[in-house]
Amino acid sequence: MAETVLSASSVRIPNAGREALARHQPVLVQSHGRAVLYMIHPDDYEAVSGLLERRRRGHPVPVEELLDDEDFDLLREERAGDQDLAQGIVEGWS
Amino acid sequence: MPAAGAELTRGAVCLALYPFTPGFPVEALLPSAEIEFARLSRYDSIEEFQADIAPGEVPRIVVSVKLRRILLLQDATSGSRDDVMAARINSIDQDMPARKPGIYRRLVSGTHPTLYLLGTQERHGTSGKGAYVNTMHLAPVAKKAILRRTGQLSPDEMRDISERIVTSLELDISGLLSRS
Repeated sequence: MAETVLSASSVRIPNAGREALARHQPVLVQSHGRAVLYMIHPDDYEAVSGLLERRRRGHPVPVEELLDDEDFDLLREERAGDQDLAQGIVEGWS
Repeated sequence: MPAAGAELTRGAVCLALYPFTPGFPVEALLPSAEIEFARLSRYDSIEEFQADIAPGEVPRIVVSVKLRRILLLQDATSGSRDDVMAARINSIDQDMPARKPGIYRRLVSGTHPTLYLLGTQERHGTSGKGAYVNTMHLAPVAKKAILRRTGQLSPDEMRDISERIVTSLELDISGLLSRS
């Protein structure tokens, strides 16, 4: 993927952001509560650039690779909330 | 009394009787039918299997349904079809920001790959309460089971939800993109 390269001297990143990036923590830049920019460490970018490129080209990416433990917990909780529906009453084959 | 057909537009937020749950009827049926399903290995076709089941053996299942908020993903205003594809809408609990901070943050910032926040606008039809569209739960719903339209999403919001559906269903749209 063609990248747009900017000189570090033309970008002002607050110290808190620089320190977070050094710890490999992502930095989120918001405007009016909406995400407009994410910054991640170059090593982390290399780890996910292939996946990003696949998405950019419209190729399918396993959705589970995009979800985290909280997401899977939420899906399990939603399913558990439907437990009364899932029980049902079976007549026959019993 | 079902909602009027003219109300069943793409992006409509509706209340519907929604009987489907991913675990149903498997969790109810399998434990009581292990022997019958074990016999499947002896048949090459479903028809052969069904022909070998005595009429009294066919299971009947009593289904309970839930009144749910759903989002219509297709226009269903014409009378040509009986069903319409919909996504489930779930409420946001008061404790979600503390219990699921990562999901809540991504919902609010609009960056979650499969969930989409509702409730920030009156026209979302959630009575001002936070909710989210879950594009991991899509299903056809009988139009007769849709009882009332409560809201309507904008074309821009439906475009954002469409992107999440592409992600959830792992659709390959590379051909479409290369032609554009």
